[in-house]
Amino acid sequence: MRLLLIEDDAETAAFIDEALRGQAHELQLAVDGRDGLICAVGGGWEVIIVDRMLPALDGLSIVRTLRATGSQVPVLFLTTLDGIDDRVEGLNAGADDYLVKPFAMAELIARIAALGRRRERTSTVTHLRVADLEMDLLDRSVRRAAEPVMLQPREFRLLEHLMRHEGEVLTRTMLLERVWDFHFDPNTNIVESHVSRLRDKLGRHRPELIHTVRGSGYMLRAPDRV
Amino acid sequence: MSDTTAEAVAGRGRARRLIGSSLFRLMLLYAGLFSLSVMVLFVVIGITTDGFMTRQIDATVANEVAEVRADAGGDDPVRLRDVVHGLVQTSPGFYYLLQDRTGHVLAGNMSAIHPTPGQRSLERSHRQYASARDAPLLGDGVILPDGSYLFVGSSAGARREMRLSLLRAFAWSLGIIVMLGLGGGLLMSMLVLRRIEAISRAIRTIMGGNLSQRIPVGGSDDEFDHLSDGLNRMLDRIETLVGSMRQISNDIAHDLRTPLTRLRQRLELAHRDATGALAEQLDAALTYLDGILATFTSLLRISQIEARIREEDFTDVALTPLVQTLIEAYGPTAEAQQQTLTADLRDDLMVRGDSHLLTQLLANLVENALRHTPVGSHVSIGGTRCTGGIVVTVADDGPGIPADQHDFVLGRFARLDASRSTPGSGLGLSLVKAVAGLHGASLELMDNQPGLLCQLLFRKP
Repeated sequence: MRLLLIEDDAETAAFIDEALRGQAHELQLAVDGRDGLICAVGGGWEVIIVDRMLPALDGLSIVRTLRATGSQVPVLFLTTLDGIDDRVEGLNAGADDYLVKPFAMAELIARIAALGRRRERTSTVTHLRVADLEMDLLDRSVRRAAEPVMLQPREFRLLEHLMRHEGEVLTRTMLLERVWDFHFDPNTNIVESHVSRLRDKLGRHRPELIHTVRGSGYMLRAPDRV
Repeated sequence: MSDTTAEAVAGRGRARRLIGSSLFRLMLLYAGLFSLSVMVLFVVIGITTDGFMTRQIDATVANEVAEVRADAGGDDPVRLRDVVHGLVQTSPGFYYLLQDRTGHVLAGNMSAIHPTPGQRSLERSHRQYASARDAPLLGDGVILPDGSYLFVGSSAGARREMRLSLLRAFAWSLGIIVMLGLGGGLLMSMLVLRRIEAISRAIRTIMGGNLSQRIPVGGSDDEFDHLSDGLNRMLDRIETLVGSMRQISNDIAHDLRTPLTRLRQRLELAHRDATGALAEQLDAALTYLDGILATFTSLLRISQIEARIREEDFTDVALTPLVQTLIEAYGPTAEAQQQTLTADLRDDLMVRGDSHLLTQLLANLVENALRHTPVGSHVSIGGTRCTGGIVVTVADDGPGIPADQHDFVLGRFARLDASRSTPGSGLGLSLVKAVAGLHGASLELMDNQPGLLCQLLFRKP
């Protein structure tokens, strides 16, 4: 993926650069807000990662200006601002995701991947299939190897999310935000216990579909692709 | 509701506020006291004037009696009869009576009366051609040596007229005073109320989140201006404090998070390349660092919530779906710990607030309950409407918290000795308290007999 990183902290930039190159991403760095905006408007990016507090021009202004030009490129805010209103402010400015520093690299990589593929997906899908697992979004039914699986509403949403992002890592925080709309860190392993239940219902004796990615999160993928 | 009825209702509301205002009540009291003092004044004037006039009439008639006797040159009844006879024709202001010892009228323009000596007042008129509207007579009588009785009286009409006109003057004055008092009271209440309402309106806007708004100052340097000025200075101070609170949060965010970010990055890089025991150590270090960050984030968040007065982002939050999400989220955890988690609340409960913060508030209470109760415990979320607003409860049947510790556990980093072994920062309930405060809700811990009952009361706006 072609990525633009607008970040003034050299050490953080180097850390991200190194990690993302390892993921076969192509990364360009802008070290202040003005350069960042010029690069961003220049186009050709698949995801733009912006720090909020930047010299010359702040991150919010960059995103607002970018959106005013009609650009739809996915933007991720990577910021130290963790106030209760900061997140809303960032998303309202036109960003697609918001990640607070310090962050785990796995979290950033997972979010970039999710943002990069967001455009490829159509939301009009009515039927999802991964290996022998099928989900009908119209009558909200799930079948594994043609056998019906009974799910609670929240388990259905979790599975739907995993299936829609087949082959992608979804972190615990991403799932909490998207499935439960929890924007705080609960001290209880909500995601773990739901995934565990889901695995039970999908059949422990069958090949595993939901995989734990150590240190990152979960990924749903067909067993034969291992 | 049509515009006119809305206006009428608004008008009635204004009138009710006006009449209900403390100032108007004060003015009423003042008008009442003033009327009372006017009444006292009139009574004193009345009694004094009345006494004076009575004394004057008494003196005049006593004098006339003496003159009659002097004119007659003694008490000879025949001479007296002639004198009285003559005086009846010539002195129209007086009433005369001369009667013999048997009560037979010898002369004068009155009918016979009981012969009582000295000054007397005759309520019933005894004059000739008397009419019912006549005033009483005031007079002086003497019993002559031969037993006959001489009486000279004067009409008390003047006195009665004076009494009447005093009464009329009093009635008019009282009427005018009451009218002026009420009118003046209304006018003053209206003027004062208008200024007080301007101040209240400004304060409401400020409490609504616009901290830069100030209370209008009239410029007349009166006590209202002094009040507004004082409030404005207090607001300046609050604005500065909130501003510096935000500034501090931002500074901490930037100056502390940046090095922490670098630290975490270095640890992560080292962890990636490490193996064996070192990897384990680094893994533990990362976990500790994330724990520190979580505590730091919670502290900052509590301060931010406490410093926040904005309500402009508030929306109407339906509690049922919010609680349903929590039940679904924590249900599996409860089940895994062999606990039960249920909800029982009316499905039309709405609270004005921030849904994310309210979710976190209830999540903290549920987590607390699940964490501090043993296997087999039951945790329930309840919600109902009461006269004061909406009550939301999270109750468990675990060991509970001793009543004398209820206030203590709401403080920051408060952990009871019994719970030191369980994970948690001790900030959960502080956050709950801060969020409740932001929503104007009160948080109370109670004994669930057995267990703990956390009750939130969202007061009616």
